[in-house]
Amino acid sequence: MSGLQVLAALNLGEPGASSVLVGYAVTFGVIGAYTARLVARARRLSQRVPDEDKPWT
Amino acid sequence: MSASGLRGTGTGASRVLGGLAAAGLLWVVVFGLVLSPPDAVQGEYVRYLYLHVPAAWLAYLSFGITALASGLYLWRRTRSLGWDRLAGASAEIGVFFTGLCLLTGSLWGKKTWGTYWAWDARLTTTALLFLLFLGYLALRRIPALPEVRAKRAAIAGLVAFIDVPIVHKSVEWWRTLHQPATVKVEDAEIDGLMLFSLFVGVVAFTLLFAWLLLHRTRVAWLEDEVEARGLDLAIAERLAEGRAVDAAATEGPEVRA
Repeated sequence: MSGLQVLAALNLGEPGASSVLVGYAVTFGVIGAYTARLVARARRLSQRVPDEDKPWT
Repeated sequence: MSASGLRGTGTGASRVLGGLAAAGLLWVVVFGLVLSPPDAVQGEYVRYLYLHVPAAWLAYLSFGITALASGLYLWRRTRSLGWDRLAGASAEIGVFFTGLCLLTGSLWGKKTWGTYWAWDARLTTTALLFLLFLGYLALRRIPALPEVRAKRAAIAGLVAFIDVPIVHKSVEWWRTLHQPATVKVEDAEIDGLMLFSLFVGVVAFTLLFAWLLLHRTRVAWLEDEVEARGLDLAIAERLAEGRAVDAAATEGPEVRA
């Protein structure tokens, strides 16, 4: 049984449950993608500035 | 990758904040999908609102911070590029969450209203807000001196913010398909567990916002720093080239056989 099926079995057996799950998956997927892009950008730029010059270190 | 690169823009405090945000988002899933009951009228589709309402709240919050930071930049006593970076970072995150708000709202609308989109006052003013701040972000990308960019972005940010109270009041000022506020300070017209799920969503999204804003502002600082260092390097190279040409001219032309 997949993770989504487990969630569905808990409380989402009603009509529309699958579309709600897709909505949640899309929302969290988009949040994850934006966060990953931000972290990657931070790491890439961070390599070009010495640590001692960064105000937060 | 160097240790510095791996560290990125994180610190001990930001990691704690990130951990809290991640835990909060997990709670949103648990409350939103499992613990919260279906609504008597909307059924399972009410679960979209545990994402939609926090996203709308963050749109207000982020554009509010953009407006505040823009005002602080324009005020001579507090003028600093730090406010400009904060304004830009908050606007980018605001555009992101306004997009999420429109997405989750349209998914919910399809199931409850029967359509993804209606030219309703709340929806239209929210879409306008999204476009206004997209324009604000585009304005920031136009090449200019940091001070020039900051000044025009600050003015644009304050002008664009005018739409926020219009969005908020749209359900009272016009007859709209969109429902009026469900959660009011004096009287919440919502079941206890649903209200709590909504509260969990708002807290978790706010923690996520704080984490994103912290890192995005630091990325903005790094962008400015890398650009300034690149410019310094280019100037040093041009000066070195100029000195080499001067030296060659002083020594005189070489006589070739």
